[in-house]
Amino acid sequence: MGFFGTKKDVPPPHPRREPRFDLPVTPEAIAGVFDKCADFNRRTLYLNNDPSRQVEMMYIAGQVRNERACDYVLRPLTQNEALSACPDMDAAFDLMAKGGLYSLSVQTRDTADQVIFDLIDGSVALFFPGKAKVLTLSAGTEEKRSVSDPENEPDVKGARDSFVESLRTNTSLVRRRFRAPELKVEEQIVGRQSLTPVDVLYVEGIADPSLAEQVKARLEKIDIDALLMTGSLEQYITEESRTAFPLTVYTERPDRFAVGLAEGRVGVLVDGIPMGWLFPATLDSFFRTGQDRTDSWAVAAALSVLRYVCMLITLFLPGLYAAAVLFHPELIPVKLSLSIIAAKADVPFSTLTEVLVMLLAFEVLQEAGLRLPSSIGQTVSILGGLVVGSAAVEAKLVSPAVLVVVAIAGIAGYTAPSQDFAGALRIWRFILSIAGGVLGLAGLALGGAVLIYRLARMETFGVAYLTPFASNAGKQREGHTVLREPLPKVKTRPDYLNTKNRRNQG
Amino acid sequence: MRRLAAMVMTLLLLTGCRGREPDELALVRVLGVDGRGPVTLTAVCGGDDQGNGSRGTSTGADFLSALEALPWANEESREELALTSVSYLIVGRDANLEAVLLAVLRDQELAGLSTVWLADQGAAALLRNCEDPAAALALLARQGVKAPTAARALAALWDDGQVELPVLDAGENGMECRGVGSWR
Repeated sequence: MGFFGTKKDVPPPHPRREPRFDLPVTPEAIAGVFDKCADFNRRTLYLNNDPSRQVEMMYIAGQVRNERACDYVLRPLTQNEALSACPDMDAAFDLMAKGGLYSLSVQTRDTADQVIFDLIDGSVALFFPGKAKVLTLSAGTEEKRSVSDPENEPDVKGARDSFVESLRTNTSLVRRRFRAPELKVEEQIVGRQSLTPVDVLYVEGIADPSLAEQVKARLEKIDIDALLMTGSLEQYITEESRTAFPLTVYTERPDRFAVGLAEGRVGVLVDGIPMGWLFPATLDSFFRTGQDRTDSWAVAAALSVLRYVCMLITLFLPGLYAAAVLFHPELIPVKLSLSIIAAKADVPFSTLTEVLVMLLAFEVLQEAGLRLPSSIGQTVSILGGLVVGSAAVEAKLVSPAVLVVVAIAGIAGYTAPSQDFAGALRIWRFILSIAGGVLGLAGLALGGAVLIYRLARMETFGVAYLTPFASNAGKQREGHTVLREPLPKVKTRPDYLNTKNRRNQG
Repeated sequence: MRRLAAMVMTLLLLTGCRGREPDELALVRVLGVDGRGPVTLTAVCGGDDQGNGSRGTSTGADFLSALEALPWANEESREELALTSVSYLIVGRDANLEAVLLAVLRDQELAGLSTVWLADQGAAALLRNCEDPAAALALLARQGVKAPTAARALAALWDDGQVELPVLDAGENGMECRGVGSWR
């Protein structure tokens, strides 16, 4: 029994069946596929009330919008005199395919797979007696959540819309901002059972073509049952799986997504997931916010520095405290040292235990606050943070200094714009605290070196994860590092994106 | 997995180098020196209104051997002697100031930034009568009494052949400055 469960031999993968349904294109065969499906519907229609001219109509309720099916298919089918005037059913079929019915998308299908998936996508299928071809007319419902404010990436001076669960709405949100016809939207289907449409977006002439090809190839390789959650994409599309650090940058803001495309990145949008991913993801991309481009360059640069400093604080402060108190008391100012000694004298636990328990308590409080409804979550946070915290200090269960150190480290972690990245920092905070508490500053340095080593080994789509700190040495252009320069001075795209067109302004 | 196990094992082995909990430290704030052979040291820990005002005395042939004889310096002691926070060095008239200052500056833990004061009646006697010497000396420093650091005092002694030190005496607050005395 291992940590992740019992390890057993994994059976070989089932080969994908191609075609999925090797059936004749007949109403009976298709109806057989949807046997025991209560939402499947089938009915026989007469062309212009002529019983000698029958058409079988199929659709899946809920996938089709009733008004569209009635107004654009049923009504002309039964009342259009031009159809009844056709000499035979072949002519009627041609007329329907060429505009006799009023759907924006009319397809002539000759395989069972095509017909079945069109039905699932919200089309109405028309079968003609004795004909091996089927007409499918798009009449899908467009029920979806309306475009709303970005909740997780607010921007005072930015746009107020965010991605929704509908892929086509999301591509339109991007295209409305990026009107260049060079914006390419290539679609792939991922997931054996979910058959989720995934769009790869890039700007031809700017994005590195090999990067776009790599993204498409990785998507092609994803062979899973269902792509329904963000993790299904993030963990399969990246090459490094044994790391806590995120290797993908996501955003719910179409404007930030479009800026990424203009920079030369490749974007991915997935049907059913209200966010977009940008590739490649490098360390600096987790410290940028959409607001960085709307703020003054000086403010944006100062905030950027603050975020990096907070990253170091959240990562190293508890470990540094444990190391200084246990191994290097000379590092601590005398008065603070005396205060720590006085407080520690009544606490029964070791300093390292105190630090680890408080870090753990912080995580528990955070997790409890997240899982509960927001109103109760806030109460839990207040009760846990203030009442229990101060009670623990008064009961001499924990030193006030440890409480302050853990609280500062925890709050500093919240300044990271990417909570995925902050999550990885939290895991490493534990490791570095143990290293500092066990080996002192040497342990902290060792832990830091291991962390940097691990980060330096990682790449995303051929770009070093530590970019711009550890790659393109000496070549990095201004404005793409920690400090942002005034936008008019940032005349080039980031070097590491290897864009075809380096200049981004006149 | 093997590498991870090896790392964990290494860390566990290295846990032998255990740190000291803060309450196990005897943080000496004031060090009194009397005599030139034998040398008597009076160490006052904590203080400065922070509690933990434990004291200890030791005698040795010279400054360093007296230092090693302080009660917290032996291995059986629950507390570990920490000299990194010595802020005040009180020297009796009978001490060998040059030897003491040299020893202080050569010691890895004792900081050359600790200030040097003179006790006419002897450092041990002065400290015995004062409840919180660190707080009393800090108060004197805040009141404008200037005491040279160990490094400056030794430099003055070598360059000028004498050094001016504030002279301490027992007073209302445990200690008071009675002026400046010259040490030749």
